[in-house]
Amino acid sequence: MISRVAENCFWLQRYMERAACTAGMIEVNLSTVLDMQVSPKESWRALLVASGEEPSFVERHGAEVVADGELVQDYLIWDRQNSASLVQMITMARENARSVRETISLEMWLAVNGLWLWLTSGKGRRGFHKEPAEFYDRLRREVELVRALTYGTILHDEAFHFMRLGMLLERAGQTARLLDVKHHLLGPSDPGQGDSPVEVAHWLALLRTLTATESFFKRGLTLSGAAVAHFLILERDLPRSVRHCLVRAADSLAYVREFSDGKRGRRSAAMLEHLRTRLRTDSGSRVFGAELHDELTFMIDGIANLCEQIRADFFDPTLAEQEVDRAAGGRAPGVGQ
Amino acid sequence: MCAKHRRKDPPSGLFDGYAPDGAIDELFEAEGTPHPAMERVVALLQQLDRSDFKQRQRLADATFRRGGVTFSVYSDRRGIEKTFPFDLIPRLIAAADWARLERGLVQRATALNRFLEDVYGEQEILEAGKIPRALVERCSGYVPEVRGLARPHGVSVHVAGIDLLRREDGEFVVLEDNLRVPSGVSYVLENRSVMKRLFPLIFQLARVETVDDYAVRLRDALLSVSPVDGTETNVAVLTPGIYNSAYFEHSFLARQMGCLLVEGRDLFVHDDRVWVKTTRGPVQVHVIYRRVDDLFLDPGMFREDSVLGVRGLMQAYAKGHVTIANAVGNGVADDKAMYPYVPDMVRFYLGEEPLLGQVPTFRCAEPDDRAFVLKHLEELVVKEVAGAGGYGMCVGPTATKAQLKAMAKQLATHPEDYIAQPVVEFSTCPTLSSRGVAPRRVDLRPYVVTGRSTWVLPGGLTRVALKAGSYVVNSSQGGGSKDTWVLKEQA
Repeated sequence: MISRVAENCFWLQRYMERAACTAGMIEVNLSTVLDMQVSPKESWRALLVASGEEPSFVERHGAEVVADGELVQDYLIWDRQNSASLVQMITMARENARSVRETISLEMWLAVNGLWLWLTSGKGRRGFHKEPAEFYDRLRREVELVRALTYGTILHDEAFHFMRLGMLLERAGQTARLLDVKHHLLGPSDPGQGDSPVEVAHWLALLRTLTATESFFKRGLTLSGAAVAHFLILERDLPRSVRHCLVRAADSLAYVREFSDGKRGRRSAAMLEHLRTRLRTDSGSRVFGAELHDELTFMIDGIANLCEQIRADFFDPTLAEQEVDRAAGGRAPGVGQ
Repeated sequence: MCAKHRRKDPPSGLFDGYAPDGAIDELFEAEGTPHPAMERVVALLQQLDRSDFKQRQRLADATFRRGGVTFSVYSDRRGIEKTFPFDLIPRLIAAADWARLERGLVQRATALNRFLEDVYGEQEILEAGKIPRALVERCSGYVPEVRGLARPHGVSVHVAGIDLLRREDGEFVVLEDNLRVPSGVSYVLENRSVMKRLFPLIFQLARVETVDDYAVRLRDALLSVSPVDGTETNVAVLTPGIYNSAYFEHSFLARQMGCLLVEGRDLFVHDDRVWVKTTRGPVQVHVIYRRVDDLFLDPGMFREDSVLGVRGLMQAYAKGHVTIANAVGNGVADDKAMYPYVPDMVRFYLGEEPLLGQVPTFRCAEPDDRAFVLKHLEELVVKEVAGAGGYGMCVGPTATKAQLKAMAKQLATHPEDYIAQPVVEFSTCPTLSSRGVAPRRVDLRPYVVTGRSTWVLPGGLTRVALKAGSYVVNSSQGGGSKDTWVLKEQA
């Protein structure tokens, strides 16, 4: 497929995934702050930190208002100047969808465009002010609809796998980032002591953000920072765990590599393998405590670098020309004529 | 409650009380009297209740918006997307009228194709003195760089959009030819699909010529002029990108034809062949249905700053490794200054009399014509030769004194930039307005597709001036569109 189109597919799903994550984060926080033991200041600020938006928010609105839930929500959802706001991410997702309209299904397009229209036409905003719970509920459903239609209405060929790759890598990164922020917020817990009620509330909120609460308890686990971190990073069967996402991302990467008979994506594959090996050898011992932050940073950076490498391996517009130049005799290779 | 009371009135037919406003009407001869050939279908439409109709109108608008069937307005850089206002009352064309029109369109498109091949080749028509050489060479659409390059199968105008008006005497006349990158066909197809959804029964009973095979016809035409065998041909639609006003259509056509949709940056030229950059490496492209203007196509030959084109494309074309549709340089044939000569082209190349009339045109570059135009400015429509989309136009009867004065000044200093035409009274069609069904002026843009043979899409895009009394149908200036129903011959 056309490299640019592949890149648009990849980003379409990265933006959708990011938007879903932002929405989930805010929605859960709304109910968390209702519990008195959690300081609203720290919890709203954590959202800004997790989305990497704290500095620009403070620059815009001042440091003293980071606890102002209304303002933070407005900034993270509606602010068009904020490139990481939900409305901007949906706009970008929609723009990517529009530019690959001939590649995605009609159903997918209608779902993405419908979501965008709802958010930008004023209807969404009115709902947000009038009935926030319903607003988040609908947002979640519409995002899930796009995801379901991605799996259910297009060929599971190259375009699909670039989309899936974007979705899974974004999700792995988001899980790691959310965990890191929580860990940073609470600090390393004293292994001798159990978690405090505040800590417990935070870990529960994190699980809910990642819709992993029920799964966590189904595994018979006891709530603690260490157990949550272990679960979110290593649990093979949890759809949002870092490991789960990386294993499936590797499948999709292998699939798209086949089209060039493995010529393209060699480096990407090696980097992904490296990240997975790290998870495998790391069976829990280093996963909590002082080293957790380093581990998560390693993962977050590693995933970001991997996304860059995928770009260089598959999307870079100068690649094809280089390949032609390298081909013997100056004649272009007759790939796929 | 008012509405309830009104409901008790006898059921109102769609066209009750509709009367043509003096202009010739597409559906009615006079109030209550449809044209004989349309009686049957008008009766079907008449059954529709007006309130029901308005609701379906809203449904249609929502469908277009949701589907992203939009165009962007040129004045906004990043483009506000707008839907093309759509009027649900179809414009009807009787079978006999269409048959005649179709012959005229094929004849005209054939002559224009012959002219382009000639003017970029032997230039026999100039040698014969039928068209002044200076006029051609001064024309902004003339591209001397492509002179002498072979045109695959002699085709230059693979897709033509020929704008027609129906004159007071009932004849269709050509207002202008669009031979470069005519757009709008996606609206024809989308309008039809909405109409079929909203009025399935009426549509079925009306017996209308299908438009569904447009994409197949276009693809077949493009494949037929490919430099390689059709089965080995890769076709691509070249778009300027998602901010272009007609992006929806580009994407739509690529989808319908099942071919690649590319931007200039997706392509490169190597070894005088055109390649698309894919995730598996370079893949050759043989036919480019381009929706990028001539000047932006190849920064190596035309505008150096173009980021929409492909460097080396014209070289690949010159070597015969790629077919560009429409061909480069077609602007010389649809230029407003060349328009008066099209009937002569028909006579010169085909030895036939033109079947389609056109609007008498004064060339302001000629002293006699100019003098006449200056004297009759208030009665004439003056058009900029290079203008399009209804811009740069001075409509005498409605212009202010100041506007007329400014126009006269322009004509004195740059006469060659202008032509003038008498105001053409043209037809109306019943259209839903805020105060019921009212006559509104319509034009017609049929699409003529040429590969190794020529085919005309039945009907075409009917544009409608939504303002009462207005003559301007352009989408950029308050125009809308209608579905165009070419009625099948009575069985």
